[in-house]
Amino acid sequence: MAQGNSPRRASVGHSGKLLVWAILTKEMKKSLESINSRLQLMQSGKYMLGYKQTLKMIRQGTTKLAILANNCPALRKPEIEYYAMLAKIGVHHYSGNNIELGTACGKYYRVCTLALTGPGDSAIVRSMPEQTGGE
Amino acid sequence: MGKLLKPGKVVIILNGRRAGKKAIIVNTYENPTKEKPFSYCLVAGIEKHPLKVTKKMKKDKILKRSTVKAFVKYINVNHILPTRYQVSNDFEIKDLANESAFNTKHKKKKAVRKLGSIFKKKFLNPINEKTGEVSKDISFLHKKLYF
Repeated sequence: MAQGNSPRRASVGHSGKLLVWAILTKEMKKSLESINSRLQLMQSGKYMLGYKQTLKMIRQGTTKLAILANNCPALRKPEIEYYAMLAKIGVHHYSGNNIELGTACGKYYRVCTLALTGPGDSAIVRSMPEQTGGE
Repeated sequence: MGKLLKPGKVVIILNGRRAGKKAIIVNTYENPTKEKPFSYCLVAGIEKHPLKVTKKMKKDKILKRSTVKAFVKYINVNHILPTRYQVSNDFEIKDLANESAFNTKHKKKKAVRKLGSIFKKKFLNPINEKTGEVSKDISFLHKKLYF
């Protein structure tokens, strides 16, 4: 699975001078799993899969979060980001392609774009803005 | 999470004869009707932008080149790209276009001509009285979108 996050530095102790480059694979994997587990909200929350429906929901103002697969067409990605900027909602760039995003949603088809309209039980909507902050 | 398509919002038309033209949303109709089974907007747009004008030109030439050809249209919301610009402060949005304009061809022609003159006047005097500056929304509307 492609891991889009870049390696992060971890400083060791208070010695200050020593900065150790550590590829925190564990952390990256954890974040992916956490997104996946939060996508389990598919059972409890409300969502819309697909580009056309995502845009519809964003226009209506009912979306809380938009999620894009990493192989989203290059023109579609900034378009959704622009809409989200206008509607003041977050966009999460899922680190997986549309096949994986579809699987994570529990569907047997590909999903490139999805919109969450109701959070359900999970904390995905609240926690996503922190993760997308550094994007 | 506000509603995206509000009156006064500048949009770009994506499909149809007017593709690539800029327009202002006058009214939105969210609920589909029998005649139009989709959500749509009434937009007032610019079909032909004013031409470039230089200092050397004479006054009547400038006036001629500043004419704006406008259009009024009901357009499907899917065929619109909203932008971050809003002209609610610069225009009386309700005066821009009216549903009654679509009753007859004659009325529509009149409405479109009136719209054109409103835009022309605005672009010749773009300075907002309240702020004393040209808003970037008007500057955006003024320019043609090259693609």
